[in-house]
Amino acid sequence: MPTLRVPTLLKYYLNDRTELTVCGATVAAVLDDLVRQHPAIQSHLFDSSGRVRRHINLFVNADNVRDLKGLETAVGENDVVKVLPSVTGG
Amino acid sequence: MELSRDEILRYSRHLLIPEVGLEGQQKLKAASALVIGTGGLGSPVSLYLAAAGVGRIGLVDYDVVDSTNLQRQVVHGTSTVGKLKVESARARLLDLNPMIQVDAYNVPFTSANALEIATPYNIIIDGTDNFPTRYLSNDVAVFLGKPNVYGSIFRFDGQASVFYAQKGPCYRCLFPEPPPPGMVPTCAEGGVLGILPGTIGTIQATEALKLLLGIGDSLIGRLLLYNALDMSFDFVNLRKNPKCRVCGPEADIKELIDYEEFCGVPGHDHETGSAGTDWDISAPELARRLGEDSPLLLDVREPHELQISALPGALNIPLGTLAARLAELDSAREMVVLCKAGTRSARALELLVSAGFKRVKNLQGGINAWAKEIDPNLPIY
Repeated sequence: MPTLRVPTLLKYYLNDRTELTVCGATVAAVLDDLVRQHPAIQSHLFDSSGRVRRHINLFVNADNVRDLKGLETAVGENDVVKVLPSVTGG
Repeated sequence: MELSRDEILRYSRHLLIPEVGLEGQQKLKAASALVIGTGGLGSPVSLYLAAAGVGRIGLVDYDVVDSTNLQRQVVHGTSTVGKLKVESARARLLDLNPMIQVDAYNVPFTSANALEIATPYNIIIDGTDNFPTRYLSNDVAVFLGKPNVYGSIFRFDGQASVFYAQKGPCYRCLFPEPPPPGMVPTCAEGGVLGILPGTIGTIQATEALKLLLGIGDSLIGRLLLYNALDMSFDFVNLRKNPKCRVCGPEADIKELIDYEEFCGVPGHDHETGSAGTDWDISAPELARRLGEDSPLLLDVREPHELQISALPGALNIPLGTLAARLAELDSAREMVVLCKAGTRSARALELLVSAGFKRVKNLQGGINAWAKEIDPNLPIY
């Protein structure tokens, strides 16, 4: 199963975990499964119209899905989907 | 630019490296870097660039040193608490290396002065602590054609990259828009491991030095993701965004904008929050009211913060869970919302008002204001 990885900022919505296994053959399906497992993260990833928030980037392994096929980007069994929000501390 | 005998001795360990050598050290002496922010990231960046002999370093900050800075902002010291950060840092850098020039800009970095301040420098180093100044730093770098050495931190996570629109993506290519106000906490709100800016800041200083020397493979087109708890370093690829509004082929932002308006938050990480005069209640006023009709105290901090300081009888519902727990609150009863310094409680108040609560107030300045003005036995944090 694919792995999903989030930074510290979002782990508090995933029972303090930064990595978990998810189901899905596309990024959209993986995110659906993530929200099904942890509904508290939904509003942090999606806006009220259901779109991924603009300050969130999604990567499959090392590549931004924006440079691939967006949410329809294929996800393989051994792939890692990374959720990357902007942070601003300095 | 020739090196003096003293400089040759001082930079001996650089001169021994073939990738730097005499020629590289001369380049550094002739080079300049603008460090925006003299906080967690700006401290190691400016210290190491000064030590390395970068000939001219500009420092932009308008804050004063306070004791909560010293857990991570190592360019300052206990002896400079209360002094201007740029002057505190300047003195430390010149003590480390009197052979360089340090320019101190004790002003907020704004659309009105940013281009003028940044123009004389070869590179810009983003050590800011807030979104408006990050977008401003990026746009200034794009418009002036300079590299922007980026670093950002939160708790145990750090990000670093080099945004250089002439050769790769800019910050806006990755993050076209800031998060909604309040969605991503700052370090003042959420905390940060003190060593983390040391790790990310030294990576920024390394990237800056490589750019100035013209050596190595820079982080242009790559984003470093560091996690201190896992001790993991990961890289992802960054590409230019064809829809980027400042560096894309159809860019429509051609000049600096109002960045506080764009981000919906102030251009600083000061922690005292307010919900607006109609909604705020001061600590002395709350003290008076508690003696009368006892409004409900709703503390929206995280449970571990209540171990530091708490008001007796306050109900604790952390901000992140408030939306799901509104049913526990009686909308008919007057309520005063509090947090550490008034920022999170202001957001909680917005949430409560939008859910139909009318009798709500925000404790201005949070429990820290209460500790300062009412109960000196409570610690301030």
